[in-house]
Amino acid sequence: MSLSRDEAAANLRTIEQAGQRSAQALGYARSSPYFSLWGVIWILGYAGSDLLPRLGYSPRNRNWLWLTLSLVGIVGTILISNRQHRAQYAADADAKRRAWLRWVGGAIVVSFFVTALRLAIGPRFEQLASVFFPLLVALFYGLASLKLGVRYFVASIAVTALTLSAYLYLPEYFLLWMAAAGGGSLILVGLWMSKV
Amino acid sequence: MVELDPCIHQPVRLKIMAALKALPSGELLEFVRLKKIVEASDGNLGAHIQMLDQAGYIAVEKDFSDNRPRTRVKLTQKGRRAFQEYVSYLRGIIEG
Repeated sequence: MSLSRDEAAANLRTIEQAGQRSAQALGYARSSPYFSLWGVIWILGYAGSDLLPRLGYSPRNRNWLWLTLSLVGIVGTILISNRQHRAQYAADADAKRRAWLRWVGGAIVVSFFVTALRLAIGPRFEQLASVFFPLLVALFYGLASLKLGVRYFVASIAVTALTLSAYLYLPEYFLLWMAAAGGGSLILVGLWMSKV
Repeated sequence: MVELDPCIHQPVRLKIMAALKALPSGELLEFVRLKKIVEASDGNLGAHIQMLDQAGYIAVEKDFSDNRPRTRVKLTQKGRRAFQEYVSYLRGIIEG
């Protein structure tokens, strides 16, 4: 059996398309639990930030709340990642070491960034952080969509629109809105990504 | 010259092999997800999976997840080599 040049080119296109769809489906499936986890973190963080002053606690306790939730989120993220790459790590111990180095390096970089931001912004940090970080997350989703697919772009637009609309038009309900709409939308995106 | 592998040279089986090749080595792909990627019916996909399994190109794993039966497939080393040869064959034709 022999093939023409056109038939060979058509088969290579088929291979490329099927490969892209497969890699994208795996990416969505793997991203899904992270969206759900961080959606829950957002709900707890923003709802807690709204409730703490109402319960008589100083608003400064919000920093401890977010620090605690962030640590829970990071540990959860590492556990999910380890579970998803279990087979790969079992076959390649060096891959696991490299992954741990990436996690530790990433945590150090983010810590430096947040500390620098806090020093630069000063007393307004707490007020601005509640809107800055969701927009930063949306930016990362938008950039990720260029490689990982359109569902990341939808997540980026949703987070940006929900954050800005509440910050500009519902400032008195901003924290509760971010808990319900922001956290809820992340969970929904996570569920959507699992349905590939 | 390398011969065209008839086991891979079929539209659905070609898509199955390409979909599995795009995943990290040893990664399993669920039947339902593969069905969406390949755009084949249950019966059609099942028949082609069986053929590739018999050729030793893919490995099929059946288990239960959330009390529901689950079928997953992955590319074997033999399948990976055969697919690479197939792609090389196609590229050889295009490059003349």
